[in-house]
Amino acid sequence: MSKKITINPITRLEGHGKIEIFLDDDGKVEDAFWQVVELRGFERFCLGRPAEEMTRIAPNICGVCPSAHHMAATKALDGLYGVDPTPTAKLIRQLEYNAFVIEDHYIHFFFLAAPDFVVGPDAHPAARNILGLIDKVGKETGLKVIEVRKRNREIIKYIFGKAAHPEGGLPGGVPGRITEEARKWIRETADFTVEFARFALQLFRDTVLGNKEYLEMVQSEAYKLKTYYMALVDENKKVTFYDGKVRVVDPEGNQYALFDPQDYTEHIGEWVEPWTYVKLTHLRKIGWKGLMVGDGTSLYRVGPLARLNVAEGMATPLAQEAYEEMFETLGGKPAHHTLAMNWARLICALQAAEHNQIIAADPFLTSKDIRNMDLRLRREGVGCVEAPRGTLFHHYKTDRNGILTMVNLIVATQHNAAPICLSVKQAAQEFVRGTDVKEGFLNRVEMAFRAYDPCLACATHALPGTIPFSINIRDKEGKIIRKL
Amino acid sequence: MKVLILGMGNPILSDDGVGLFIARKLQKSLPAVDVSTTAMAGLDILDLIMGYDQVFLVDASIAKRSGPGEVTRFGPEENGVLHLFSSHGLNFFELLRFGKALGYEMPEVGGVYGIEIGDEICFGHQLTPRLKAKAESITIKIAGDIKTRLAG
Repeated sequence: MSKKITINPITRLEGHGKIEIFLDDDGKVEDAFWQVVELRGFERFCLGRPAEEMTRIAPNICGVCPSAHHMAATKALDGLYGVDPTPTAKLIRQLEYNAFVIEDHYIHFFFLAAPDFVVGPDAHPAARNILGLIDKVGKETGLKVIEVRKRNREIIKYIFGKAAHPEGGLPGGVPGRITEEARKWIRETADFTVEFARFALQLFRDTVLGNKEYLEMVQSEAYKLKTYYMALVDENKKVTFYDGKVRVVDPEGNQYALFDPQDYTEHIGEWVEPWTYVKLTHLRKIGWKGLMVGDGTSLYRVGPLARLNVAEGMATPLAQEAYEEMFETLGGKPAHHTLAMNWARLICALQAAEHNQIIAADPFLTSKDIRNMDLRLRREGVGCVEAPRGTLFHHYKTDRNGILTMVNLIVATQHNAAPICLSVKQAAQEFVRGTDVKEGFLNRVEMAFRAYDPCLACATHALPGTIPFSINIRDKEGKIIRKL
Repeated sequence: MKVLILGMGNPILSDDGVGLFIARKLQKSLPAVDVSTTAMAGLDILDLIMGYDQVFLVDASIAKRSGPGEVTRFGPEENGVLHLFSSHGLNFFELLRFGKALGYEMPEVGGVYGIEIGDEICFGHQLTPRLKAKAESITIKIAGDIKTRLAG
């Protein structure tokens, strides 16, 4: 008899996403899908508004990465008004954006990824969390996480008024300058963050690389997916978060495409499947080949691991050392190891911290030349940044009065949606046999999913502040025969 | 005693923002209490509630225990997070335990009020008429409960 396992996050907006794992008559995993009931209508909600409102509205799309939407919107306005921000404005924007990347990556690592390794993948889920982590490594680590987050939030707040939902993005510049007084504490924060970044990487080395079982898990075929990769790169083809060209490498690591973000529609196709509301992205010139990887696939991944696979190195020295260590350990580039996303995330955060040290020392940082007012409405603009979860596009068109007539967003989780399905299927095929599945094995399936840190209903949060999983094992008729 | 009412929700998601709307109305009923609103969740809540002795949360809910506009008071027993899969999913009560584990003074939770909304969530700055029509009675109910608990 066929069986179905459902991993269903029961959110306040119930049914926003769930994983369906289908078993065949022998209890083996036949297929897996990540289904998303997406909030629709955001684009329509924006139409008819002045384009400048987007930097205020867009951060509300997501309760987790508002700074990414804010910066993409700000850059789309640059394009819409045909204006290049001043060098100082670019520095200030990068300073803020790096601070955001740092904050986001460490929240993911310490709250989501690290418990699986530090507390253990087989630990009871009630203990496999930040509290369990603190029990293992001491509260000093928790205090450091809070401190690094707080200090970097101060940077975001100083530049864009609010830490959680920045709103001050302006075409051609930034809303305020950095004083010499502020430079001092910004430099201290950058120094503190670099030290923390090194500490976090060492924690990863000690707990994961130093544990044979965990290292084997990271390197296991159950967590490898041969896809293309996409990310922004700078002029030297190094990792960048704020600006650059979009580079795509094939599953062997060869450059497949390098293009300006404004040309994204030539390269990215969107495919509609009846089982999900997410438009599944793929490489347009190859065409939609379905949910398959390896030879002939048109699927690509974005995010921390993609950034390192796509780039020819990191832009800062300590991050470069960590990058080399990672690829040496994993057997070269590209690394298809899904769980290595957690490692790559720490390396990206280190680069962001080092970059902020460089920015804090830049003499132009405190210049008063923070806005280029040479605004000329071009009626179309594309903004692109590396959001923490991957490449984010905002594309706007307006009428001659600057009123929005078209809004299109491609978010990181959309790029990753099809690969997430395949990663879950791959892990499930390794760890699920029939309905009598141990909790630790189901957690290993979840680990494949969690590595992407996908945004589901970006604009929502759960009551009482949670998005739990329930795992149902059903028979062919849909009756629950086991509940976890 | 420093008391905070925290309204939670998304200001561009119509009824999802009912917690924000009601929290602002509660300020008039309970002038001695601080009122704040947020569209964030997870660790961000920690920043907002630290320094208070007691906190009351007001948020939208699709618990499907009742009809739209009905108010449910959630307790710590509602903490059901076992399988955290996204950084969206940081649990409120777990956050309180996290704060305590780090040695922070955390407020007592006076109540978590969930206001039932419909399944159909759409973008918009306004509440739907059916929920807006019940805003007064929702406010009176929550304000009454908070007053009782503060008096007790």
